[in-house]
Amino acid sequence: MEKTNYTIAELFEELINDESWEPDAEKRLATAKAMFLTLNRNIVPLKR
Amino acid sequence: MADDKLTLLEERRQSFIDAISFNEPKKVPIGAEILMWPFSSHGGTYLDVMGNPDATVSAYTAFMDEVPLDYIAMGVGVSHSVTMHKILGSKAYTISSDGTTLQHMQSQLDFISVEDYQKVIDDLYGFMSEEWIQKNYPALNVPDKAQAYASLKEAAIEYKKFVETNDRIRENVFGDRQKLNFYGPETVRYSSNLNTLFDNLRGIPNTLLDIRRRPEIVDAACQAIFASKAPLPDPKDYIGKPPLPLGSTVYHSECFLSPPLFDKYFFNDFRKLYMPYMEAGVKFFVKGEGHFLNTIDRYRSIPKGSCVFMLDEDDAFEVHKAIGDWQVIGAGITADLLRFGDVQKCKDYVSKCFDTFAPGGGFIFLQNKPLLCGGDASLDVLREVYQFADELSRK
Repeated sequence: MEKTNYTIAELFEELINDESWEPDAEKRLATAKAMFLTLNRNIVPLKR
Repeated sequence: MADDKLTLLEERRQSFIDAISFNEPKKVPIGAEILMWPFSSHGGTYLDVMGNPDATVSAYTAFMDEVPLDYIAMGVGVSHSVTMHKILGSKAYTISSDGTTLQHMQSQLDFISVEDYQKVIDDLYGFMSEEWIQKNYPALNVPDKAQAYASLKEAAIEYKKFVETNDRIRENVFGDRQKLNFYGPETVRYSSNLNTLFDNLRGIPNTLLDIRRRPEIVDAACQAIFASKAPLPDPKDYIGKPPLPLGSTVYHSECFLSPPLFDKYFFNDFRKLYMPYMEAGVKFFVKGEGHFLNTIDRYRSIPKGSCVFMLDEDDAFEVHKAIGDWQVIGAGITADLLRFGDVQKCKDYVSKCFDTFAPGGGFIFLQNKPLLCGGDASLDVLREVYQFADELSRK
């Protein structure tokens, strides 16, 4: 696998702070957390 | 109106508690596990309504106007956002050619290699939160960060819609229709560490081979998985509470294991870690997969009525003979009979189940397999069979 110059954690941080897709901060965080868990097969939660 | 609904839900709740506590309930709870089948109940498909929340809720819940149900086993809604996975470049979830069945394609996952085991053992969090996601979601593994972020954002928008649609389905089923949901936020859940390897990290065939070829590394990985889990709540918080919501455990690898391996990888931890909850009054819904009659005697070593079994391949009457005086049986109709569609044969089986299992409590009506695919049952057959069961449930 190629090494990228960014991390998944950085992408999720940007998603949580990006009001353009969901203005409600709580909903953004909840969606990001649920999605992160889904992507890693419900094994590790988003640390935040 | 609100009071009537509350009464109906309270009645359903009380009957459920009585049945799983070995008291004859006023009404044997009639339930079903449903996955994607509802979309096909009136001749349509999931693809017809996918992406349209109103149409999705309506198509999913319409069959409940005709099929009597007191409770829903396991939950409701669409289990995975196929579109989100697709946006991120994964083919792990796909909709079958019937337009309705949602398939999990394990073969499309990039599982860990033998070499990766050490990464899992050394830093499970780091591996799963970075490398695993990049390996399995190509759209998040491109050179341009802006491009990767654009995909993640598009996927998040889709995922949000998916979650909101499922919330509306739950509201319809557990709110408006007052079906009993036997899980809740307090549900204590157990999944064996081996299942995480089997289902998620290493895949079915490799995990089963590894148990024989490299058991030490499997055990080390299981320990790392256990260490990563969130701490369990205090069992004292459950003392004196009603036995709803149920606790939860689901078989995956268990039916492939010999009895000694079943003990090692599943039952010993279940008994050790969850006995305090059972002693406090928690009852676990055990969703079976495959055959597990050969290990069912283990459940005599935990408190009476601490488990409610959803059977799968095993004969319900054999299971009842083996453990029916000690643990609760969820049975009553089989997926084979529903699919075959001979209503009289279905009714004969339903009658036999009620005659055998219902006296004395310890029985809830449930199929042996979920309504999963479009062709799993016709609405006409399901309606007739469930209406018949509903009549028997009140006697």
